[in-house]
Amino acid sequence: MGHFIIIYLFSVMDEKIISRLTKVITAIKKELEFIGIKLIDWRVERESSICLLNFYGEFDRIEEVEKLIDEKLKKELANVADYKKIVSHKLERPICSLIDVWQEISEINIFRKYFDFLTHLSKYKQLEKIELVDIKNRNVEWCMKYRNESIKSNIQLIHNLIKKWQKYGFFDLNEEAFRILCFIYRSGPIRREIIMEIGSFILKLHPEKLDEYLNEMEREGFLESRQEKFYLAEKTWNFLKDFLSIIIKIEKSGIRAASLKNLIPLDDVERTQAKYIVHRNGNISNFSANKLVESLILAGIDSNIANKAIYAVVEYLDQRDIIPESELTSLVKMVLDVLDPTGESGLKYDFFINTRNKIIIKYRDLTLPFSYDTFQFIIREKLSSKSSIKVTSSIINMIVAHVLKIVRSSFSLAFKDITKREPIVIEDNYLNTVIKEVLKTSIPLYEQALEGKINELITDILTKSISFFNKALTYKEYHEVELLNNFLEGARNLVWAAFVNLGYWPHPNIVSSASLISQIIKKSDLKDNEKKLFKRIEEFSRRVTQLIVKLRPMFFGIIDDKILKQVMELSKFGVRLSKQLLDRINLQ
Amino acid sequence: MVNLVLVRDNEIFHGKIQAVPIDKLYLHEEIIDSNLNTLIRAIKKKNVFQDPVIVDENSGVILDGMHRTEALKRLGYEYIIAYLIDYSNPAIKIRKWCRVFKLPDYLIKKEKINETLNEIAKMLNLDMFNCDSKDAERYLEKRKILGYILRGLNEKAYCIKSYETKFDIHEAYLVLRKFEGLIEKKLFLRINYYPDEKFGPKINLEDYLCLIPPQISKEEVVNCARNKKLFPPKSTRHIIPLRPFFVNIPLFLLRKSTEMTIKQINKIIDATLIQRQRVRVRGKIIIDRLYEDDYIDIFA
Repeated sequence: MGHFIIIYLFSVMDEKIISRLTKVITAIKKELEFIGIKLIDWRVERESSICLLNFYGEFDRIEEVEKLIDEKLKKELANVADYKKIVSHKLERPICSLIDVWQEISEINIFRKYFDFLTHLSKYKQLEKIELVDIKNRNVEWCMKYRNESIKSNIQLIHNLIKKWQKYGFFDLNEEAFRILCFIYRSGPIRREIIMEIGSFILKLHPEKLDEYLNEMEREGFLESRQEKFYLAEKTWNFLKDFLSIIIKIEKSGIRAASLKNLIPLDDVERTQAKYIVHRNGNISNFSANKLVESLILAGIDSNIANKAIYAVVEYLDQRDIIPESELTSLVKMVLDVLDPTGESGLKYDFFINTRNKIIIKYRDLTLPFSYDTFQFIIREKLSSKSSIKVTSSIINMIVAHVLKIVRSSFSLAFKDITKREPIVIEDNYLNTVIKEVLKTSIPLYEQALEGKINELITDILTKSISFFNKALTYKEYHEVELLNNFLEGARNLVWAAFVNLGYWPHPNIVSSASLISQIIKKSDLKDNEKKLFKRIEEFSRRVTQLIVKLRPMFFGIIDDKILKQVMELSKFGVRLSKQLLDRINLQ
Repeated sequence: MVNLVLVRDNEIFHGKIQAVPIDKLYLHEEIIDSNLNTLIRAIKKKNVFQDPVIVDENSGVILDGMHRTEALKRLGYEYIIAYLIDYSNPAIKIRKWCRVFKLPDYLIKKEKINETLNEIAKMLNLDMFNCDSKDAERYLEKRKILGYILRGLNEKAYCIKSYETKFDIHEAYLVLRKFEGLIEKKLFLRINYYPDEKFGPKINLEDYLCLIPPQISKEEVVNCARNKKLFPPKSTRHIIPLRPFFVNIPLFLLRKSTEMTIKQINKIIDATLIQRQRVRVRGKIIIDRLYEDDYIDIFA
């Protein structure tokens, strides 16, 4: 019995192929169970055009599994794509994602700091007389501020631990050796080559140095080696058990303390440090505490717990500039488990984060996994099937984000049994309704443009735009709110008309529109004089954006003359541009 | 950094995956323009850098991945994803490619071949003599000849010798390239490259013409590369104990950026790779070509 993998390499990897693969894999899963083979995991890698299948079962069944998959693939993928099996291989150990060990790195790093602390304390003969100074003022590397309070309240346990184990020489070990022991404690008996391969990465030690340490600790009786495996000596195992149980206690109460002292506004937390979240595909985004709270709430977690959790998470992330997304999610889950010992919050979050494995999308005759790419494909297809108007990736990203959020949260909130293993299937009609509503609300002029008479629509909104600008220009002093509303309405209509006239769906946000128009002009094959007009519209939307930025922090009623003058100038500019654009339409 | 370690018979082999500045690397083989252009198109399409180039950490010499490096350079990237290894580790083997020409029926057992080979030798001002294939191999090892040609099992070897007294490995390969080019042209044959183990002195095929070049040493690879003396394509063949595959790092990370330092870029690469599943499989498998390495780590 053991793990084995099969990897297929495809000539292309698009939605059609992914859909057929999903079908094949869903079908074989049940058939395989009959012959005692479990499909542990499968993954499609678009960039490498590979599909990796990870199985567990009797090795003498591998040929049977291969035959079964080959048959199904041949049937489903004939005349669709070329593919070949590049690997069919028994694994000496289960596939590891290094993120599992990354978590260990963070933990072992924390253990190491405790160990340093204990080693330091062990040098004093009269432990009780030592007074702890507030760590947050002294040692910034020791990142969790509330950990200190927790240490203080558990100091007696620490003293006892030192007294009990001092004579065995553990506190004379250096911290690299100590980290190796912690690693073996966590992994269990381990073969030399495995500790070399994974351990050198986790422990950040050169493999040869690591080898030296292992030999030395074996000589000194901290480790034993039997049947080509390293074991912890009994005393080492007992020491680490004591040591880690105290640390877990301190850490847990530290998390609770941190979560209760939410004195820092979240915006300040975000400003303190540039933190990047690194996604699995290598893309990066900025860490946002606010976004994290939002996702916890969307996952259906009680807002009280969500708010508390965020402070504990931030405490842990302090001083880290780059965080893998998977590490962040496992950290959030750990914090949630501490704050909600029933485990419900952790499970809900897990469901929300791992929706990919829990939801399958039915779209036309395709069966697709729940992913960003899937939604992007569906939405692009829906938009292109209904109109020849093109869509910018900025709008696509916005719509996909909306749809993903709606689908994910509606299922995570409504899904009763979050431990259920069978995936939920989302049918066409539900998805169509959601996408239709999101398109209607996110894209200006969406429904009107679908009616087909584009030039009439543009004429209509430009006429409206001129009318709004004119209203703004004839403002009365006591109607400042009206003035601004009319001006912004006029500006929006003008910019939207420009988008549609260029053949693109408009962006709802005027602030984002300027740079989008600029990108579209660059790509277009407009004549020079036409380019000039659109460049002036781009300039107009930039100036409107600047004005909005100035207006934002103001209260209505205190608009100064300078701004008022700008609004007037821009309104006149807007009228001119609207008329010029109207002339262009009339000429077309 | 992501360190890949392989322990075999108590010997440790390791290499690390990281971004390195392209201008700090040295090619050791020439680029084939048509291959380069195809690769540039493929990289542009994918938007990710798929397989790390293999680089000797001490000298910066690229052992495998000349075209990928040149492609990124031409596309204006500053960094490349490299798998840095210690080339001096005896577990890394350097071998050679034999130049093999399949003979059509009308040429088998024809004297025309011998005549043409002699003619080419004359054109290139080279000496040529016949001897037993075992002797030819010994001469080649001692670098008394530039290379030798085999034709059939029982035939004698045709040794190619330079009139120059001093043997220069780089020169030898340049001369042999001319020689093989003329074989192609004059006999209308197509060149194929086969690993030397397969078409070495043990050749037993009657309908092949096989040109055996000298074996380049690791030191020669490093010295020539550092002195910008590039070998022709298919001069070396490196077999390493462990090779990473499908790392798929987004190309935007490899552009010159004022916002991010190389240290930060490498932290992002680490954070990306540790989130992937890593599967170690036995090598000698065909993916886009045959990979002769002992093991392959696939990131998926």
